[in-house]
Amino acid sequence: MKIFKYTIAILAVTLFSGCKKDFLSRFPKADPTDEFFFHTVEDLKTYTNGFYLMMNAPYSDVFSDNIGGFTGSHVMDNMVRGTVSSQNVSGSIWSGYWPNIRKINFMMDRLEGIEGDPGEIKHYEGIARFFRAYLYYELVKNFHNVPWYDTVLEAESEELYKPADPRTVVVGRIMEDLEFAVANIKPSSSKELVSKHAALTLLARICLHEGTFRKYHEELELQSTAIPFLERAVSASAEVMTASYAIHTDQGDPALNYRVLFCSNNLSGNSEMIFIQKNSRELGVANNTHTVLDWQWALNGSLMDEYLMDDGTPFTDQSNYIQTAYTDLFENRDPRLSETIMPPGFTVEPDNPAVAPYRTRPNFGGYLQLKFYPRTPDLRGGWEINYTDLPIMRLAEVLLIQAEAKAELGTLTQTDLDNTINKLRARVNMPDLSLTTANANVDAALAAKYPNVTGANKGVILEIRRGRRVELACEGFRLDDIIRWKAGELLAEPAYGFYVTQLGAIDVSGDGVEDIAILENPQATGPIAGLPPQVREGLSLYYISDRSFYLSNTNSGYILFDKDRQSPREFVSPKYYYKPIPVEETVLNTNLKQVFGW
Amino acid sequence: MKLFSLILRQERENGHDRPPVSKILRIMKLTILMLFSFTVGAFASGSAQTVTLSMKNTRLENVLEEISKQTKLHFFYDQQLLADLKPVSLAISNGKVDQVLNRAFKGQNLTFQILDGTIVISEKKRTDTEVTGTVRDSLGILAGVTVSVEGVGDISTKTDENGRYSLRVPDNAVLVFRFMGYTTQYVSVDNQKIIDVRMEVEASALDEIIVVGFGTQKKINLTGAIDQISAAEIENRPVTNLGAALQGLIPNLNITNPSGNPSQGANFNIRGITSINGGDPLILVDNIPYTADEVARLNPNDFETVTVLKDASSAAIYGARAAFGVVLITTKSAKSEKAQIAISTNTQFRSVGKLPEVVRDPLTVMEYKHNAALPLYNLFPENVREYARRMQDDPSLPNVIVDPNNPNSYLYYGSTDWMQEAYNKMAPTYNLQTTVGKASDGLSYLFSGEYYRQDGMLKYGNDKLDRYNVRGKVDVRLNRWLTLGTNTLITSRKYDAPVFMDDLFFWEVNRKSTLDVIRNPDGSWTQSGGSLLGRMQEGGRRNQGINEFQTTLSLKADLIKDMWDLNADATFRRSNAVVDSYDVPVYYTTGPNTAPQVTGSAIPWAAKENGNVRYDVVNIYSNFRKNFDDHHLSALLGYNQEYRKEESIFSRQNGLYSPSLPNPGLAHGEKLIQTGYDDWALQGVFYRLNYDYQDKYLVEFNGRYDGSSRFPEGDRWGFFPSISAGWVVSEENFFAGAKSVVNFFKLRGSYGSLGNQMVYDPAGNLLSYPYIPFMSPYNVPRVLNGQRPVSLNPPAAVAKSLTWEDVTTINGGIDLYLFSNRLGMTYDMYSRRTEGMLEMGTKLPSVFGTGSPIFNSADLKTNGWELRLNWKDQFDLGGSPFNYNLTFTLANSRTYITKYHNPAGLLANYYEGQRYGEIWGLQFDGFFQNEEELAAIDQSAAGTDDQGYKFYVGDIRFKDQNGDGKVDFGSRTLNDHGDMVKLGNSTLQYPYSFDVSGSWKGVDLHMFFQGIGKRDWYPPAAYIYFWGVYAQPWTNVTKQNLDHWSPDNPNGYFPRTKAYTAEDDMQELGIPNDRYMQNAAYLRMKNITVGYTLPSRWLRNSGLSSVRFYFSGENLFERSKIKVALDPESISHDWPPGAIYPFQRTYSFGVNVKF
Repeated sequence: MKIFKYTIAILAVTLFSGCKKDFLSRFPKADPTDEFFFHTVEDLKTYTNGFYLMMNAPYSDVFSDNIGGFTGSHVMDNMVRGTVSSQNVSGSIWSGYWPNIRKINFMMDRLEGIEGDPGEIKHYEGIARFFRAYLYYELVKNFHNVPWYDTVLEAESEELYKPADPRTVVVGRIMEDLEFAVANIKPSSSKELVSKHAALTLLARICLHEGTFRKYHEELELQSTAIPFLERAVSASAEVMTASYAIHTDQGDPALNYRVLFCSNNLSGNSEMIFIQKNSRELGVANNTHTVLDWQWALNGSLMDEYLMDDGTPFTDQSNYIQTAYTDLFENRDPRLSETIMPPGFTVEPDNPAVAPYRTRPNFGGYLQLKFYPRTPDLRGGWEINYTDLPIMRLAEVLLIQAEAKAELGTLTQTDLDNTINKLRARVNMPDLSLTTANANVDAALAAKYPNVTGANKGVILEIRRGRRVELACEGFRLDDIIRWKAGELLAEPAYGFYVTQLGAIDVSGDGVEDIAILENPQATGPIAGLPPQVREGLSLYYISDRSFYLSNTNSGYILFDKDRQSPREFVSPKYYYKPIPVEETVLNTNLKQVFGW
Repeated sequence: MKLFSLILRQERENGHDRPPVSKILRIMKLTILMLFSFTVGAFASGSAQTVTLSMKNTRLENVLEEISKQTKLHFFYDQQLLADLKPVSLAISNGKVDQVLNRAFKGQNLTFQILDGTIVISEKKRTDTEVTGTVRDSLGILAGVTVSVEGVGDISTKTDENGRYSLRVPDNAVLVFRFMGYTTQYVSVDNQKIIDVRMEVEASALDEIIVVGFGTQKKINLTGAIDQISAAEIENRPVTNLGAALQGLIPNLNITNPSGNPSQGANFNIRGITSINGGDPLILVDNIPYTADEVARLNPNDFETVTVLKDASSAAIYGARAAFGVVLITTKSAKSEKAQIAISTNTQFRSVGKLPEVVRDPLTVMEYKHNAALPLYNLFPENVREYARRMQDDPSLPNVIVDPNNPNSYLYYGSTDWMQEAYNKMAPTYNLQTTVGKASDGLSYLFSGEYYRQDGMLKYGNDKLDRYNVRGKVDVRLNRWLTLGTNTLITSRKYDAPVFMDDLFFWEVNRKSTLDVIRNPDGSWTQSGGSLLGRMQEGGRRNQGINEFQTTLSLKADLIKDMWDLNADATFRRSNAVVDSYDVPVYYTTGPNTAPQVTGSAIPWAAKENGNVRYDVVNIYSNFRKNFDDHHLSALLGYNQEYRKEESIFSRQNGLYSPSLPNPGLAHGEKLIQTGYDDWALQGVFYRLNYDYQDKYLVEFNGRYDGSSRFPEGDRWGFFPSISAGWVVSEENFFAGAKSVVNFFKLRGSYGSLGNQMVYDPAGNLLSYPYIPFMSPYNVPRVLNGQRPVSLNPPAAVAKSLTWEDVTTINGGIDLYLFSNRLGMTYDMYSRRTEGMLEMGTKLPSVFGTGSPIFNSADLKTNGWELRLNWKDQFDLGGSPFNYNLTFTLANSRTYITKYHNPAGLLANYYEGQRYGEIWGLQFDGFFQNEEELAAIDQSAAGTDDQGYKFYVGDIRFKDQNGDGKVDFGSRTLNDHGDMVKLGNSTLQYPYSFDVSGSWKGVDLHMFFQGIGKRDWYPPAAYIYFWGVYAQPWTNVTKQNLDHWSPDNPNGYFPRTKAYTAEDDMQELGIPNDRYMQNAAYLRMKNITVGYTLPSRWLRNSGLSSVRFYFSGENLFERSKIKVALDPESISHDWPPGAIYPFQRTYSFGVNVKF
């Protein structure tokens, strides 16, 4: 019986010693909870590092009237073709923003526990609010009214089901965030980080957008509230202009001065840059900019036409400009044209004479996007392996904000033009814009595009809009601009490509020898029958019968796209200036209402 | 008896006339002499005489007569023996008698013995000892028992009505006694003449020992739903992975194979849908929990039994984690006092199974892609197709030319079969296993070892798996009451594969265009060739090594002999995993003069990951059993605790100094270090109480009180009791009349609850800290101030209180044996309710900003049944017993959501009353045949964004169920679902299997079929194997794509070719509809094996006790109605769709040797 007792004793001891209370208390030692984090300024810095992914540098104007042939999918493209509804719209246009807003609010909720220099703490709070303002304004642009949340929600929170806050309230909060950011974010020595001036630029950008939106969108009945926004746009941009930024002119060559902003790997020291996205082979951070050339889109004839002649006169004033041959389009034009749209004779490997010039294709209309294309093979590795730096904010935009806001306010002077848009013109050796001349000789082509621009500054406003479209082409501003100017009808116009005088062979490389031919169908070889055999053999042949494009006058004329014929465009105003909330969200929160006919 | 009659007959016919008494004496004398001669093998002196013969074509009788005359020797033989013999010719002078006879008998089936002046002639085979005896069982004599000689086909008899037999047997014979329902007995004859045998009733019928939690029970006494198979049922197959081998063997043990990758284990499920967030059965090997992947690393030859505990009561003893059933695996132990050595080897050749067929004619491919891409793209415009047309007339034209539209670019007109290029036709597997064991009173041991090597199917840069297993089990009896044991295992596995393989390789294989070729005319890789095969061959590799050491120390004390014991065991597992990987750029060119471009990693990097697992398990339990007359009582009380901790560190550095030394320490670029930590603990006290009366009325109580570290303090502990009962009806007196037909009949029932503590995130990852809102660090993919800094993600939303899922099962079962136990049947019905499922409780508006927290929020119910039928018999075939065995299993289950917080009734979510697996979609209503039909309905809500939500003539038309002129989804809720209807169910229904085996004369044959009776499968959007160019115009034209709508073929299978229509979920063809719903039922020939066991007499004196050769084929063919050539198992795995390591067919040859 002794064994008996001992065994029982051992059993009992083991049982109870095993039942130590903390045996079942475990926590992840490699992943902290917020109690272990959010103590110091350094923690805030670490956390805010993650915010930078919320803002990317755009490198195309998909989708807008800057786009010609387009084979991708975009909500606005589908909208003007009349097929978007709350049922089929992508859920991400709504749901994509909230995780980031929660991420920011999670830090905002924990600021009180941070110890350290108050100025430093406010600096990082400013960065958080900078990004929150940016995200919320994107939501406002999409949906007009949205619910405002500045704290992390619980699963039980009733606020989850609240109605949207009015635009005026939400924009007011955005302004508070941005003013805080401007007041507290410190200047930065690194353009890779958000700085005071980046905050000012965002403030100016949003103020210009909101001010002009309220001014032109009478359906909101907020016209009277537009002025303070425009005024703040002026003052914020002015503050940036007085800081140590300068339009980049170091390269000497006018075209090169402009080009390097979009296809080089050393923007960190570029005087024009306020905020950049740095890419690096060594660090494995890259972009996909090689796709701009001839992948899913090309640029629109309407953008091509807007570039001025190099003497400052409108291209559209040239006699019979419509019928200009492809190879002549780039002659005597604003040098920025050949940096934005691929000119004849361009080669992807400039140092390799064996590589023939890139032949444009009529499928997309012929105006291939060159801006942002990494020019040298060493920066161009392929899909998601291009290493060019990209601007997120640069001084040129600030200058254009200044000019436009003042023009809209009626306070624009020639000095203002000289300090802003004329600096951009000067960089590329373009003549200055004169306030009086512009207002005296309103460009008819522009006036037709923006019929709602009126008043004494009509001429200069139109020229500023041209300047903005040209300077900032392919940088992702165009659709926003059209929408805030209430010029949605521009999106309803069919896109077009270059002018074809007749079916047959065309020189697109500029060497005088025909490279491509447009024929009605494979059998209709008559137009090229007379060419020397070696030229004929080398032709790239395109057939109208392939049903990708056609010519405006059947056998001649602008290249037009079958897509626009099959799915004609229409712009429903004001509905299409806003987007539908995905149906699931209005089912889950019945207080959420669609606006303007959605 | 025969021998006597023979002699008598011979004498009578020869006319010898002797007195009866002397005759009998003489016969006795002869018999004794003969027996003696068998033993000593000596000839008598008569052989010394000589004879002289010269005879041609003479009957043998005459030869014998002549010899008899010359020597005075007598002959004794059966006239019949010599009746049909051919005449012989002999010419011998002065030959010795035995020599003469040897020559005379040459080529005849005769032998002779010279015994004391008499020569006895007999048939060679019947070397002749007669054995007689009586066969009984515990009750009395047994008639009809087959008695045969092992390894000799045609010597057999049956016992008569008195249970008696007699048989003439050769030297060293082993008698085999076989009778249905009884264990086959083997008895060496040696010198015995009378062998009486007592047959034991076969255990499988009534007394089979079933492994249960922390012990064993007789099958007769079971009350829960338990099924068991033994190693015998799989050991004759070339099993390389136990999980895969178990598929189909046990009804409702549902095994699915995730892919053909040799490093991936099978998935286990018991009885269907368990919980929305998953829930796997608990797998234990020798009472130690293992994951399915860990089981896959073990030596399948070590396994002795596999037991499946299906209902709450049988699994209750394992409480924590046993909610969804338990798979108990035991490993072999030494059994015999004689040292046993076994070696088996096996060589397999595997070929890739079904692969989808694609169209490869360049012109056809270009035309399909061109048409599909319109109006979006002008793919392969006419001037490009033109050359393909010329190639059809002149196949000698090169398949790579300079692009007429871009002189810097090549244009390809290939017909590459990328599947064939990526995979080998055949790949070998080698396997060697040895076992050495011996059991004795004081000490028993068993050592086993395994080496396994598998070459993968990749043609370029092949993957290789090496596995080593060594196990040692030693039990030492210290004294009368104390036994110590160890069970130690060392496992080592290495898997070396291209680093690209884990990436999107399998997806890419199918995406590569048939038009592309592998290499350019200048020898460089093409983009397709380089990004697929180039990366495999020249890119980096990943070498995963896992070394695992586990030892169990156990102690068993018999406190009171046969009444009370105490067991304690402690297991320590230490695993170490090292993953070395690196990648380097691979270059390709796209045109004749262009600079090379990079695929794979632009900058060479190397990484090392080191993971360590510490896993400790302690079990202490005590058994008590006592019989009071007819009352049998047993009880078990125990304690269990487990702790597992995993720590890892991952380091990676860019910019290798030399790609040939891919070590993260030898690089100069960006550094990355990540650490991982994960641990959990479990504790529990458990009990079991069994009582039965006369083995007739059975009752069992189980319970467990469990604590889990996965839950917050206060919610941590749960108590899970269960009860079960059984009634052996066939033991009742009133049943006696039926017992001759129904040998055994038992009714069982059980009810109980179990806890589930497995919490998964929506991505399917098991969470160790589901209530702790922790933040996870990551390396920001953005350059900030010159470096890529670290940041942390905010925590997911977690519930403050969450506790065990409560899984309640009610089970009823019948066990039946009929017709002398030849037919066995087991049937179970069950209902399992999973309550408080740890699940995202409700769909929250997306302004919440993260996934809804997981808490005990939802309920479901699974109803099901399972059936196993077995027929076992033998009959005589050509004088030898033919044994055969047929087993059929069938099961089914259906699951319903009984609680889910979805007040809006969103169809994208679960809702109350929903049958799990429901597929909602639109009904097919033909194709738009003309513009009028097109104009009649607005389907834009069902269109695809890539095509601007537009439809054209030839496109699919959906049925407008509510007649409002629009096809839409309403608000996608239960009450407002627009035109959506229920179309089918995606769950596996009616899994079944059929197993046939037989053996005859050492030849054994085994065939095993397995299948799924019913299943609906809608090919997911972007599943390019099925949709081909309807998903993306870049992907291949599949064979089934060729049958599509056109004005000439208005009823083709597919609509008009239209790209991107099957690219996104719930858009156009991505919306489930009845037209493309696939019948995913299948039947698979899982295994066929033919074996041959050498007759034991061949092995005499060889030192071998058994040798078996076999050929085997696994997964040789399958029947499936899916409209694409795909393995029916491969379809169940989702993203990227169909991108898995291909399944393989296996042909193998092996030999098992026992010493």
